[in-house]
Parts: sequence; structure tokens; C-alpha cells
Amino acid sequence: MHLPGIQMSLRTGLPLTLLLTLGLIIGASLLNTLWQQQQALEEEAVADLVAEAGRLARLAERELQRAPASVESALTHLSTDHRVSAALLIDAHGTIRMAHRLAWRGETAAEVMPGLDYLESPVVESRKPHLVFSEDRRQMGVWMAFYTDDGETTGRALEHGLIHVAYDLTQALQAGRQAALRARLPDILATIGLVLLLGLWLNRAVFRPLSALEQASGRLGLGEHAPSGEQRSAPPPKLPGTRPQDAVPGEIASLARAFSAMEQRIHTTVAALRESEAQYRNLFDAHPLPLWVYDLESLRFLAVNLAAVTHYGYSREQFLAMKLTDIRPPEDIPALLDNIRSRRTGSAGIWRHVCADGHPIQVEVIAHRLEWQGCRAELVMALDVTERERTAENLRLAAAAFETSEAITVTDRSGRILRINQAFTRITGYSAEEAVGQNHKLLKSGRHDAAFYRAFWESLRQSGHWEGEIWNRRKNGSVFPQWLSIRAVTNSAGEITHYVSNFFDLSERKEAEATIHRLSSRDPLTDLPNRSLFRDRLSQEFASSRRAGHYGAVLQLDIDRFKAVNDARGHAVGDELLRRIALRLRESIREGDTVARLGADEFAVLLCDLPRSEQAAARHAHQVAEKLRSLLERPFHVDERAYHLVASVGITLFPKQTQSESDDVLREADTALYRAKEAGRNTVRFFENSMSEEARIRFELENELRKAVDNNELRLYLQPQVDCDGKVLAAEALVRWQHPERGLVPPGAFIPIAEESGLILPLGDWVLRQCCRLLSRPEVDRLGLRIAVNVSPRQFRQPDFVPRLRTLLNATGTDPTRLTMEVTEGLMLEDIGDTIAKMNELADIGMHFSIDDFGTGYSSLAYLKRLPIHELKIDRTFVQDAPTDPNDAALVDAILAMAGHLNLQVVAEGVETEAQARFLRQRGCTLFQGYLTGRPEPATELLARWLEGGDT
Amino acid sequence: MPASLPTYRSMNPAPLRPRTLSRRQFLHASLACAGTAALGLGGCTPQPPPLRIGTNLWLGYEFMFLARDQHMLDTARVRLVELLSASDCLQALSAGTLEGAGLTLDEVLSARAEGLDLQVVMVFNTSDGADRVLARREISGPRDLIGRRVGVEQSAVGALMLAAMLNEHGMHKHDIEVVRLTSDEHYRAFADDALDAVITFEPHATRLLRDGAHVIFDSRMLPGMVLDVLAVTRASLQARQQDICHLVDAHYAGLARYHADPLSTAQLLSLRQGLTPGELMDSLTGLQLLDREDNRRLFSGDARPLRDTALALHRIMVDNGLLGSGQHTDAQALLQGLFDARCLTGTGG
Repeated sequence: MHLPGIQMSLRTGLPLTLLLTLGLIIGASLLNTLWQQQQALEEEAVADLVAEAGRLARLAERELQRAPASVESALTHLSTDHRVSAALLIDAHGTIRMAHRLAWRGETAAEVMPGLDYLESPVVESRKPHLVFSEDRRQMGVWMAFYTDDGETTGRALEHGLIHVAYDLTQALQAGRQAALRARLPDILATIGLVLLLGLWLNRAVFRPLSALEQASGRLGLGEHAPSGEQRSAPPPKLPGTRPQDAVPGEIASLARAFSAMEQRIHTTVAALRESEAQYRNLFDAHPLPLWVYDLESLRFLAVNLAAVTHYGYSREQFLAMKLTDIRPPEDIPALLDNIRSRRTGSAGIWRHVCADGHPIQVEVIAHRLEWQGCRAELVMALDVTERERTAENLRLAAAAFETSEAITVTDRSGRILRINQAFTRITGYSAEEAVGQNHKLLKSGRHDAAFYRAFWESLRQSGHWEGEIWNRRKNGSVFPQWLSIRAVTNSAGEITHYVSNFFDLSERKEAEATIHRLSSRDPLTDLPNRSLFRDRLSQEFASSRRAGHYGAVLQLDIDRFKAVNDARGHAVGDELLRRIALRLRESIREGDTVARLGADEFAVLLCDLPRSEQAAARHAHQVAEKLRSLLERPFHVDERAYHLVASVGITLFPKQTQSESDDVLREADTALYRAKEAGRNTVRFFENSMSEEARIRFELENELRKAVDNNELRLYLQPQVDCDGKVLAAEALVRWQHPERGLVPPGAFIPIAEESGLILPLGDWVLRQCCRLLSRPEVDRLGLRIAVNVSPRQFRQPDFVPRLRTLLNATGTDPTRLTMEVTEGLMLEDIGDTIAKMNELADIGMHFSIDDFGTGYSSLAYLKRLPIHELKIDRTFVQDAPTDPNDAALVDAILAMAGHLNLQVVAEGVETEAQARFLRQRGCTLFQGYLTGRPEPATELLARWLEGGDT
Repeated sequence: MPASLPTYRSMNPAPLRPRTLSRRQFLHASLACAGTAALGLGGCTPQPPPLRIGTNLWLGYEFMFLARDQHMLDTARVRLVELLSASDCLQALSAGTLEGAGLTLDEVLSARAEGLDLQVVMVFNTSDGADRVLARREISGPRDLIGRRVGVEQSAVGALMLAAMLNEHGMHKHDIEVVRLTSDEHYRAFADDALDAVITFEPHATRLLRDGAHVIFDSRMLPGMVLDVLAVTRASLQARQQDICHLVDAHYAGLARYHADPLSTAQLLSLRQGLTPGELMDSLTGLQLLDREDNRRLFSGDARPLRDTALALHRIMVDNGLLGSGQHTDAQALLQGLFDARCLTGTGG
């Protein structure tokens, strides 16, 4: 088999062709079978479908009025047929009366089969089954109308209905296909077997002898000869790899004999040629310089002599396996190839070569073109010039080293200049022509006296060396400082023959030092980052805050009236103050934030990783600003005097839409600082006015809240929880803040602040303490009320929460069974182990637990079962909409059922209308809490009323 | 006239989505087939048709449907067939059109007595009040039923409930008029005033309660006796163990879904049962849902706890003439190989 471009061996080609042909035949017949089978399956399905639908229609006409269950039983049973994908009975109104899915009963056909306009279809006019198919005919359905009468009127069809049955044949077809394949398995196996047998026979009788012959001729081609005598004496010709008993066809045997005779003749002629070669090789080998011949095309070595072997360290065999490029360093190869291509005749030149041990040598080569064994070749003679070249290079290096950035002069012992470098010319202005031959005194400035020169010469004579700063004069007459170093050079007898001096221009170096200092990133006075470093950090943080989506802030501080101090007390005091300020600032910020000194009395702070909400970030930045401001208000003591400083702070947050680069942030901070100063100094201002106002109010509120507990401004309120008969069983403790100026502050305005600032801890403690005091009053105890107290997760998470609570209970003598702790679902999400342990400990002494805002968060039976919970509080949002919104109603239903199941009490919060109360009453008795049954009132007033026996 | 096949609202995406076998799929199937054949691995077995499991409407079976609708059950392996009553299921099992069904344990015993070789592989739940005797408003207690019509399904649970109620109140069977009904007929018969009381179960019970009936007796008086089980034919358990275990796993997956998120799962379940989520959760309290661990306990020690229950049921059934008088009524023969724990030990395929 010979396809264009593909050379296929007989051994694979023949069986493959056979296999393909047989495969095609079997495949075609298989496809035909499959197709016929599919037709049969389809026809059968159509017949069954119509029959089933007809049977159902008949049954419906006869029994639908009398015994609908028997119709439905037959219809649902259809589903046991694997092909059935739907079975429906639809009445005259389009409602599904019966279905293979019980959930569909009672729904309209239009809902279950969207887009179906079946009522207008003519199918209802006729009893003829109406068949429909999917495009690939794998799915099919039938519609069939039926008519029922009510049994009393005279046979007139009053009601019609539709039967719909659908089949999905996908699975049946697939199963059929697999069965057909299985049936064809013997054919396929027999074919494969047949081909294998044929292949085996061909292999033994034809391919193996042929391949032996091929190997033998291959060896002959490579010149591997068996000794001729032996070969001759071994008739009959035997093919390697075949055994005598193998039945080899006649054609192949005679081919083998002819081959063997040819092999004999070749052996005899080859031997004669060998002897004459040896003489020439001796001449070549005896040459003292390395010689070789290489092929100009392939660059392979064709011959090498003994000197080459010795010099390069490769054996002759290695050489002959190598190319010319193998003894060249890789970087030289392009040049080599270029050289060989461009030359027409022999050439000479110096090249770098590499020996077998890897050490490089430099070689001068002479090449000569010649014809060698029919190839275009070159005879090359190589002379190693490595040493010669190295010496020359050393000289070049020395000359280069002479040209440094420092000036160098070489003088004889009398001071006559012999040599100078370019730096000398650059520094002094004298060219080599002008300087060489002159005395070194040429440069003398006249600034140094005779004593200086005496000491100079003395040192040179004594130690052979002098070094120091010296003033010299340039060609243009200007005098400059230089750092000079002179060394005497002596001959072998120890006499001074020359002086070598180096010098550099000190005025250049002094400028460089100043630049380095300027460029350094620290402020030398305070060792804080300077403005340029601050800008660097800000721009990094600006970019990363954009990426990470969190906020950062820049606070710019200005010490008010610092200049006055500086002027009055002097710079020393001013500098000391700045250092102290820097120290305080640095100690008060978090690691990761940056304080920098931007200028005279101006500092900046960069806050990173602020919260993701703009408001929270602003609050945080404001807190830090206030902290820094108050920090600076503390007096500084310098030289036994106290200095009182105040600062203005400008804040801006980043990133914002208005900022395109970090410099915008700095500008905004600057503007904010200006506003702070405008506002009368010693204040904090945001870039945005609105933010300043908000932060101020909040800051004040937080400060005032901090004092509210001590100032006795908090008030305990109670809101009754009543059962469905209106009897008060419990009350929730609520806290209100009676602000001396603002009046009654609503909890929504200060509880979030308390949560965020941590003030919730003292606040929570206060409420617990008040409730315990109330409960411990004997007359209150007699009322038998429970009091529910909100416990925030932060409060509950305190490690000593339980012991402190127990101490409080003991100290006030409160009955713990009268207390209910209201916790939120959030408490279940983190560290559930701690939550369970603490709750169990408190439940053990009789305290109750209630889940607040139930239904808004995470509800799992698992935790409800694991925790000692007594009560669920349905969130007010569900209660309020329950009478009108079916979704909320269903949720409230489910919560009530779950609570019933788990034996938990339920409190409905926010019950405000009679409709809501009615809705809840219909679903069993829960506790109500809301305006309908009682507003929150001051605890003392409410208790007083209850004690009088009025309201309960 | 409808031009083409209707598309059904998708509760389960499998049934009518046009699925054509692409050329590549065909090739794969063929090659896999020829490949296994060539390797002498016993040829290729075509994918068998899905196993058919019948159920009637009962809350305890609902988690299998939840699993199906949430795609945790492979419908190419197991097909849930929704029939009207347990009697329909038994009839279909006899006819060979089902391979298994959700049944009460007594129904399984009756079926075996009639020669149907069923094996129990899992217990869905025990009834803990979900089987109830409901009566009209004017009937205040069982004793008021004397001379009245009481609907009962012809099953051991029905007989059991009836016997227990009569016994508890010192009454006799002839004190009342027993009307035989299948469970799907309970609601209509009660609504049509054809009955004064009916022995029924969830969700029918809740629907009747909604219409004004009230409970005068329930299965809490018979703790642990009323069990709903998954029963399959011996032949299919032999041939299709992997698929049956897959169904068992899917049921537990559905149950776990419910336990993890009861509020939203209840809303899904309530659709099929025709109850509100609240009613559904209420009626679930009448069931003791058994998870894999509970089942392992029941099936442990050669299923000793279950065999005891089955023996007790057997006695009641014989006493009430519910087992007929065939040769299969001997207790030892009936219980031989009744419980099979192979789908509970590990996870199925």
C-alpha cells in the first residue's frame, strides 16, 4: 500500500486494508439494522401511544363521573412504562384533573405546559387521536378528546376533556442500540480473529525471511564482513533469523542464494585497497604542528595528526566524530561559518579554540583547500599563540587601568612629568602635550609654605608615600583643593626612580555628598520620613487601596504658632520641640501607618487599612486625629520650661472619585488643614464639610455617652410581653438616654455607637445591674414577672462574662430563673463551642435564653437542638406583614410549627394592630410584645402601676 | 391543533428535554462496547431501564421526591412512580410493573403472605401520631362511634388502629360499621358525609382537619408499631443493588437538606403535599423520621428490633384475619430474609 507521503510496510498495510474492508461491510450492515430497529421501535411506540390514550379516553367516558379513582389509578399506573414521560387528564376548563405527578393536580394545563394553546385546537372537536412529534422523533405525544355526559340528560355531550400521553424513546432507543451491537459482537470478533491469523501466517512465511535479508544487506553496506574464508566454506546459504524447518516459499529462497554470492565477491576486492593508505598516514602524523583535514560542507574532521591529538587532548576517534565547531567557543561559531562561506581559497588568521579539558587557547591557523575522498575539504595547520596574545592583552589592560576618574601623573625622580591620564587633563586643564616634560611644580598654587613642602618631601623619603589635602592651581589660574596621594617607585637596587601621584578634585566630591544628603529619605532633625518618602508611601497605598477596596486617610498636622516659639526661644529649642513632637506622634500610631515631617512645623500621618465603609473609615480617621491633637496638648518640657502646643488637623480619605493620583490626596489634606486653621485652630476638619459635621456630632455623642453612665443619665424602660389573654407574663428591658440638653435620645441613635466604640460593655453591665436590682426587690419578686435583657455578642464573648454575672446575681440576691437573656442568631455563627458552654452554664442556674430577631438570619435545626433555648422572638418585620403578605404568613407559620415541635415559647415582636394579633391568635397562643399591648415605659412607673394591681 | 410537543414546566429537567445522541456519543457507546468485548470482559451490558419505585402520597416518602427535584436522585437510574394508594402499589408489584415501593410494614407482610417476594431495605419513619382516627365535630370521642360508619383502609395499620382504639375504649368490632376504602378515597368520602369517622394518615389527615374534623385517637398509642419502609423485590435487589442503594442515599440526602434548613425546605415540600409550610411542619411532628444511624440500629443484630415488631404485627394480623389462610402465613416463613441491611452499611453507587 503506497499512499502519497506515507510509506507503509507490507506487514501492517495488508492486514489493515483487510480489516478496514471487513469493518466497512460490518459497519454498513450494522447501521442498516439500527435504522430498521429504530423504525420498528417508533412504529410500535406510536401504536402503543394511541392505544393507551384510547383506553384512557374510553375509561374516562365511562367512569369519570362514577368512579374517578379507577380512571386515575389507570392513568398514574401508565408511569410504570419507561417510555411514558407524561400522562394527563385535562378537563373542559383547562384544569389538570389527573396527572402522573400528583403535584400537578388542580393546576391549569397552561401553567404546567407554558405556551400551549390547546383549547383552540381542533382536537377537541374530534375523537381522532392527534399525534405530535419532536424534531428528532425521539419524543412523541398524543392528544385525544373524550366526552362525558352527566347521565341524566339524553346522551348529549356536556363535558369534554383531553387525554394527553407522551413518550420519550431516548432510553429505549439507546438500549436497543446496545442490544444490536451486542448481537453483532460475534461477527466483529470473528473478523478480528481472521485478520490476526492471516497476519501470523504472513509474518512467518514472508515478512520474517524478507526482514532477515534486509538486515544482512544492511550490514554489508556498513562494511561489516565476516572473514572471507569462513564464509566461503559454509554453503548452503543460510538466512539469519530463519530456521531450516520453516517453510520458506521458493521465490524467497532463490533470492537469498543470489544475495549470498554477491556478498562473497565484494569481500575479496576490499582488502587490497587497505595497505597503500598506511604510508601517507605516517607522513601526516609525524608533522610537529597540529594538522587536520575537515569537510567544508559538514565541517566534520576527516583526518587529524598525532600533534593535534596531543595538543587538544581528544583521541583520534573523538576527533573524527566531531565537527570543526566543537573546538570553537560557541560565541565564535557565527563568525566561523561566515568566514568559511566567504572564502574561496585557503586563509590564515587567529582564532580561539577550546581543548578537551575545556581550557581556551588562541591559535594562528593556515588553511589550504583540497579534495579529500571526494569531498571539498581544507587542510589546516594550527600554531598555539596563547602566551603571545596574553602578554599583549596585559599591556592593553594596564593602559586602560591608567585611565581612571582620578588624575594620575608619573614623574621621574626630579619631578619631570613623564605621563598623565585624561582625568589629569579634565581636572587641571593641561593637555598631555602641555604637561609632559614640564616639572610637577607647574600646578603649584602658592598657598602652602616652605614648611609644608619640607614635611611633604620628608615623608616621601622616609616612607615612600605621602597623602593629604593640597591646594593646586588649574591652567585657568583657579585654585582648588585636591586629595593627593604620592608613591615613590624604586628600582631593584632600592633607589627612587619615579614618583606616581593620584589625586581627585575635592570640590567635586563635596557637591556629591550634598546631593546624596538631599536625596536621602529621612528628615535629619527628627529622623521621620521626609516629604518625598511620604509621597512614595502614599502613592503605593493609594494604588493598593483602589485594588483592595478599603479606605485610607491622610492627616495633615500643623503646629499652631510654632514660629512664635522659634523666634522667641531660638532654633535650638524649636528643634528640640520638633524632635519631641515627632517622638510622640510616632509612638501613638499603629505599626504600618506612617508619620512624616513635611516641612518646618508640618507633619502628616498616613493611615492604612481603614474599614471598607466610608462612614466607618471617616470615624476611625477622626478618632486618630482627635487622639493626636489631644496628645500634643500635653505640655512639652524643654530646658525646664513647659511649652503648650496646639495643632490643627486636616483629614481626607482616599480613594475617592475626585482623586486621580496620590498628589490629589495631599492637596485635599492641605485644603482640609487650611479649613481647620480657618475654623480657629486647634481643631480637626475633613476635606468635605459634611463629613466634618457628622464626625463632630458623633464624636461628641460618644464622649457624652462615655460619661452618661457615671452622670446617671441612662434610664431603664420596660415593655410588657402579654399572653393571648392579655396577661403580662414578662417584660423586655430597654435602655433610654436622658441627655441633659438633647432630651431623650432614641436607642437607634446611640446603641450603634456603643457597639462600635466598645461602650456597649459598660452599658450592658449597667442594664444587667439595674434589672437585677429591680428583680431583687421583694414586692417586684411577688409579681412573678420575668425580665428579658438584650446581651450583645461582644458582651457575651468576654471571657469573664459568666463569673461576673454570677457575682452580680449573688451580690443583689437576684433569682436567676427570672432572667431571660436575649441573644441573636449571629452568636451561633462564630465559636459555637464557647457559646454552648456559656449558655449551658447559665441555663444550669435557671436562666432562660431567647433568640432575638428569629427568621432574619441563619436557622438550623442543628443548633436549635444543641442549645438550651427556651424562646424564639419573631422579628417585627414578619409580624407586621403577616396578615397581608402570604410569604411572611408562611414563614411565621413555619416558625410557629418549628417552635411547637421543639417545645419553645414564641414571642411576636412589634404587634401593633388588632389584625396582627388576630392572625397570631388563630395560630395558637404566643406572647405579644408591641404597641398594641403596651409601649416601653420607665421601669419605675410601670412597676408602680403594676404593684397597685391596676394594669396586669 | 398543537403544532408540536408541549414543553412541561420543569420540576425535574429530565423527562422531555430533547436528548439526541450525538455522533460522538454513539461512537463512544459503540467503541466502549466493542472494547470491553475485545478484552473478553464479558461483553457490554446495556444500561438497564430505570428502576421503578411506586409510592402513594405519604409525608415520610417526601424526602425522596425532594431529592429528585433537587437533582440528588439520578432519574435515569431510579424512576419514582406516583400511584394513588398502597393497594395500587401492591397490585403493580404483583403485575411486575414496579420493582419496589414505599409501604407500611404490615402491607409488606400481607404481600409476602400472598407470595410476593419483597425485602425491606430501609425504614423511612415510624408513625408517632401521624396515623389518626378523625371524626366529625359532633362526635366527641370513640364511644360516640357506636353504630356509626367508620372508614378503614384494608391494611394492618387500619386494623391495628381500629383494634387499638376499640380495645382502649372497651368496644367491639360489631359496635361500629366498618367501611373499606383505599386511602385516596378517604378525603372525598368524608367530605361527602358518607362517613362519621375515618382512620387515615398524613397528609390526608391535615386536610380533613382543615375541613373541621378532629382527632379522637392516634398512633401515639401504638409506639413503634407503624413503620413505613422501602420494600423491593428480591430479584431486583439481586440485580440492581447499586441503584437501590443510590435511592436510599438520595433519601438521606433529602432528609439532611431538611434538617439543615427546615424553614425553606418546608416550603418546597408543602407544594406536593397540598399543605401550608406550617401545617407540614406540624404534621411532621407526628412522624419519627429515621436517619441512617437510626436505621443501622434497627437493622443491627440480624434486624432483631424490626423482627420483633414484625412478629407483633403478624400476631395482630392473624388475629384480625388479615393474612388469609394461605400456606405462607407461618411467621418464620414470612420473616425469612425479610430485612436486608446492605444499603445501610456504606454509601451506595
